[in-house]
Amino acid sequence: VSEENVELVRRAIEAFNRRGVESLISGGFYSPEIVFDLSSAGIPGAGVYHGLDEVRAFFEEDWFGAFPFEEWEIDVEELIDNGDQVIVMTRQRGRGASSGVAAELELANVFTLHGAEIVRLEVYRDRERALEVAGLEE
Amino acid sequence: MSQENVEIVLDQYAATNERDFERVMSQYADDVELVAREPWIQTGRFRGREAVGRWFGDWLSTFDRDARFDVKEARELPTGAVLIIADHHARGRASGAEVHGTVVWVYRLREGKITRVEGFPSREEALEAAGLRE
Repeated sequence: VSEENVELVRRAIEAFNRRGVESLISGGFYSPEIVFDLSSAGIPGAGVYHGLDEVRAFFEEDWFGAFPFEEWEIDVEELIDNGDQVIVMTRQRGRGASSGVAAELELANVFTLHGAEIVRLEVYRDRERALEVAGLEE
Repeated sequence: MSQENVEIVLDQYAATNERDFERVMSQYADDVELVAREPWIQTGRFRGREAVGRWFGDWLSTFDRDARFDVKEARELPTGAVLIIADHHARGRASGAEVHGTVVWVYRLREGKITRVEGFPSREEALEAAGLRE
C-alpha cells in the first residue's frame, strides 16, 4: 500500500501543477475531511484549513487571490515512503502576475493518507522538522 | 532622533490596526524599497511607495477586517535601523480559517520617512544581518 501512497502523492502534485488545487479536489486526491496545516511553515498569514471548502478558499482567494501568480509549479526534490505517510521535499516556483517578480520557496510536506485519499498535509520550512514529525529523525 | 524613528515605525502598526492606510502610506518615502524573502510567498524587491503599499495591501487583503498586529519588540539597532517583531491575528478572508503568526521587519528611515523595509524569517536572522548575535 505504501508504494501506492507514494504514487498517489506524485500524481497529486502533477495534477496541481497542471490545473491547481481544483484538480486535487475534483480528482478525489483530497479527503473531504482534509486538514491542510500550514501553521508551521512560517508563512505569515497562513493557518490550518479544514475540509475542501476552506482549502479551496485559501488557495483561490485568501492567498492567490491577493497575490496572483502567472504560474505556480512544484518540483519534487525528494520523496520518502513512510507507510501511511509520504514526505516530500519540494521547491515551489511562481511569478507574480502584476509584479512579474519570481518567487521561490523550499518546503517540506508530510502527507498522511487513508483509503487512497490524502487526509492530512502538514507543511514545514525544513527537512529536519518534517522528518522529526514523521518519526524519521536522522 | 532614534526614538523618534522607533515611534514612527510603531505608528505604522497602530495606523494599520486602525485601518488608517493614508497615514501608513504617508510614512513611506517616495523611493521606499521593500525586500520580502522566504517565508513570504510573494518574495522579491519592490520599489516606490505605490509598489510597497500595494504589496502590504495585497497581504492584508488575505485577511478579514479584524486582522490586528501586536508589537512584541521595537528597538533601534546599532546600524540605526528599527527592528520590529509583531504577532498578527486574523481570519482568512475567504476561508475564515484562524491565522496567526509572527512577522520580523527591519526598517530604515531618512528624515522621518521610511526608506527601506526588509523582512526576515526570524529575529535571529534579522540580528545577524545587522551584525549582532545574542
